[in-house]
Amino acid sequence: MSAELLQSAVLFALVWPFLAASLWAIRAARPLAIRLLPWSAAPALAVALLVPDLTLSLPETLLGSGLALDATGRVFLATTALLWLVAGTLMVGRRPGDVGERRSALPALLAAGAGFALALADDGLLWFAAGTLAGYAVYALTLQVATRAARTAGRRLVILLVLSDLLLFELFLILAHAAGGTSFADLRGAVAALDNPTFVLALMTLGFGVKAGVLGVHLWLLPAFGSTTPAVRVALIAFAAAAGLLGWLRLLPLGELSWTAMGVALHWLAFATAAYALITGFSRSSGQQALAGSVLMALTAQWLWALAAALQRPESGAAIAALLPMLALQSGLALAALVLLDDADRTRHRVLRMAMAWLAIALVLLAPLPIFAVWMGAGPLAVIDLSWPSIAVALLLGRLVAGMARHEATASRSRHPRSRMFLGAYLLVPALVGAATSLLGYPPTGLWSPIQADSPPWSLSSAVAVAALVGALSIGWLASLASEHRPPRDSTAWSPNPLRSLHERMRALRGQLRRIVRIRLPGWRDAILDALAAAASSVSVGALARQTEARLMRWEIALAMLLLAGLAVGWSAFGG
Amino acid sequence: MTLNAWVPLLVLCSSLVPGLLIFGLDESRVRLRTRLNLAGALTKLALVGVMLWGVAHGHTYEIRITFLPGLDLALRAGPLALLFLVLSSLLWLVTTIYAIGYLEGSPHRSRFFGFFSLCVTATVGVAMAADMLTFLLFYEMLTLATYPLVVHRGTEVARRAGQVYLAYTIGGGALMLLGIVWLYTLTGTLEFTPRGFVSELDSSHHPALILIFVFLITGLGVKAALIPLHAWLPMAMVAPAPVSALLHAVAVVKAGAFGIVRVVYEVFGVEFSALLGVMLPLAILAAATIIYGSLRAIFQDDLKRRLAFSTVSQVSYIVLGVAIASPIATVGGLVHLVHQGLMKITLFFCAGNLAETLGIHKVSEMNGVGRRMPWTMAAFTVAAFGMIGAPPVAGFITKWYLGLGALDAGQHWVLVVLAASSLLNAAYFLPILHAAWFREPPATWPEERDFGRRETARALLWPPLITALAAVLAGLFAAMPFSPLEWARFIAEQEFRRP
Repeated sequence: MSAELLQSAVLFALVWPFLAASLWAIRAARPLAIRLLPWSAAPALAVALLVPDLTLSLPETLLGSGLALDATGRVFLATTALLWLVAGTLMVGRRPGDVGERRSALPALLAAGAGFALALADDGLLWFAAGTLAGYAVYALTLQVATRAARTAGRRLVILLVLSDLLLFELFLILAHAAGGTSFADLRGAVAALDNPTFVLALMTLGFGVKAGVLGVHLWLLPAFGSTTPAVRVALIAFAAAAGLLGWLRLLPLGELSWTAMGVALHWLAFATAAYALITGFSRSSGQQALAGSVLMALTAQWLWALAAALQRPESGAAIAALLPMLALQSGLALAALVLLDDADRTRHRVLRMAMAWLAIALVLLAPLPIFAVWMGAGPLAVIDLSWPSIAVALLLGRLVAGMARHEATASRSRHPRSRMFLGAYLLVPALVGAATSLLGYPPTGLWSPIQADSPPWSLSSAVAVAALVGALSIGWLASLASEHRPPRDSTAWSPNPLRSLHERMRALRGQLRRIVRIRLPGWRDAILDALAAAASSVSVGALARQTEARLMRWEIALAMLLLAGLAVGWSAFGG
Repeated sequence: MTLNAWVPLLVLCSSLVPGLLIFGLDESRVRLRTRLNLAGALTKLALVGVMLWGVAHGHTYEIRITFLPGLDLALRAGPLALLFLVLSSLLWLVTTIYAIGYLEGSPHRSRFFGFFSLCVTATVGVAMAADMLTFLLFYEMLTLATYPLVVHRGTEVARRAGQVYLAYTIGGGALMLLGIVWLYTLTGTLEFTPRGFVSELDSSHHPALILIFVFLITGLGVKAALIPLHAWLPMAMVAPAPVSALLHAVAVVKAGAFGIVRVVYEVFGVEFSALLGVMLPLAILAAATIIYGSLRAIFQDDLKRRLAFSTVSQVSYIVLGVAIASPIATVGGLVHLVHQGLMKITLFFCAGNLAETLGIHKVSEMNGVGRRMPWTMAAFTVAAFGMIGAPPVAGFITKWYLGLGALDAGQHWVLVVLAASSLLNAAYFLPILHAAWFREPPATWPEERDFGRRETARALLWPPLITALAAVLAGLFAAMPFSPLEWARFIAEQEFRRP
């Protein structure tokens, strides 16, 4: 295929959602625009899978922009496209005729197109423009559910978006001025040449952190996950990956520079974010959806941890940078799978639901593998070196899966205030132990001895970092107590004895685990027979197409697509 | 006299002649008046297009007519003049279409459109003035032509607003006259010259030059609505929406900002102004106006007043770009002349649509209006995001260049001003968008008019859509040849080119 044709294909994949969105301008074409929503990501997915690496110059766009399909962009494009394929399918098909869902088609198409532009952009300005558009489109999607909680989430999101965009504007401005250009290569060069990168890294952390859900600027994330539909939650995951995580990877010249102090700071931030995610995830009583938000925060923490490692140990930076996109893909897919499973009780097919649950668990197990691969390459590890964020991710994912296995609407385990306090204190202990060891000559980097060859002595920065950590943990703990005064639904279930409460909870947990283990596939023959009968009845091509489309609009199919893609990626990364 | 020399005069006449003819028309001659308006606007646009092409290819368009011994009426269409000319002629066409729809069935339309055309004639004269005296003549003509438009409704509030407007602008004009006469006595010329004409004066004249600079900037600052001379602008919001659009985006406010650009670049020169030490105070004044205007806008419930304070803030970006005194910031300031015009006229058109169609005048009445008038609010949304500085709308390009220019000039404090301004812009625009798109609409609107299946009249709907689209295209394709940005770069290259 000629280079021009391939470039046109990339351009088409980017423009296609916007073309579909433009149909909204014609009243008669709006149903068509809605029908195109699930397919808005198809060209992008095809490009991610089939088109070789290329660059495309767009000299007249903005101040002279360009597109590039490289290894990093390809993985993010595939992730974003897959997630939007699922989100689009669900938006159109979940509740036909639902005004709220139909109205979300326009912002969804804009958000999808902006997401693809984020993955394909080769310069800072196009990336910034796409990130801004994606942010406000996601804001509109969040508000399509007209609930008080959604309005709160939307209000927080829009305030943080404005702040984030301001910080990123200043960041790109400073880097472009230093570099004399806006391409990512120029901007990375400018970052590498900075004498004092503290301010730039702070802008980066806060600017991208808002979109990725880093502690301190995460305030929108949990309410948004708690108040929106599964489709929008999947879109939020795509947004966090492309507009948040990818930014760091595009701007930081990993493997080329060593910023120990910055690495330590990021380590602490990752640590604190993971701790906060863990505490809020286990102690919230607001339900599974918000718990998914905590998982996303923990995944972001895992990402930060890897970035911090790369900054502290530049010789492994390139390897880590190569694995990070894979981590984003697998983590995103795993989380999306879980978010969708959260809605699983709507399906009539119990068999399918169970199968999906098991496959989702497999995806969850696959998700942190890239980060473990980094550890393996980093040398022998002490037990304490197991990354906090990864532990947090594993725990939260387990919590989420357990909750889903019980088909519960809310996380009732943490309904009792005393137990929440107990859990908070329980989580605080290991954190304080870690902090104390740091202060006694094994500063934060002591936790990551393979990464940090020489443990630096006690310093003011480590004291500040420890204070920040303790503060974060306290905030998390307090947040978990914030709803303490809410009267329990079942007053008889409230226990004043924390130990007894813990015992009861442990027993309940055992029961849930047993239930997961006992999952069987009863009635599978009926399911196969039903499928065969349905296939036999669809003899015409039109009927087949209609039925295919109807199938594609089901969450189970969407989930299956995710799972297949995740398994394929896992296979190619670790076995293929 | 060559054919090229006549073109500037023809550009003037293309609105002057229809304006004078319209004054004589009976109110009932709607069709003829519309044709005259549109023919004038289209002719002017075509002529300006010809001059744009010509100047880009090195042609000169200049004419001098002696009207007093030693004093000429001098018109010249250079690159800087054309930037303003293109803006005013393009937006005049759009505003004329809008005004035709807006004033349909209302009284005194001949008077309105007559002064409307005179107003544009004066604006075009301000743009093409080749010396300070010609500039002042058209500047004052603009004041007098705009006054009847401000008081068009004839209410007590309108008359009061008109008086305040006249007091401010005539006072400003008097200060300008004082400065111009003093300047003439020192230099013996008033001719606009690239890189200025006063730098040759002896250093003993520097204190006098600083005073002259203050007089001129104060006189121009009235129309540019620099604080504390801005009070007339929010009051003038009592005028009909097309007049507000004209005041804020095409004529009056822009004439003030354009005048400041000319005084700094072509009277004093950037380098000489910096030598006099007047640029930093000017930059600080502009920055203070940016922040003050935005802060005041936040607390306005009246939509047009909120937009008026937004103009107070936004127009000072142009002054800030000039005062930073770096080539890149100059590009940012100059291009904002066009960008702000496109975005602000969209906002005023939309405000007019809301008032005319649903009787909405206040922000607090806008709940759910996006569902009732989606196209109008879509245009409003685009323009509001542009004002905030969100890419890819045109406002982003302005802020990017101002920021880069500030870094280039080592004036890092400007970044803080830009960030604060963007934050404040978001604080007064985003609540409007949130209310319009995501709140439930009321059961009835204040004064709803029925337009059938359409959300409003076509003549009211198309202008904001066109200008909103232009604002997006100006940002998205900023690097295209003949884009406002490329033209501003062309001007800056000339201004900062060493002789």
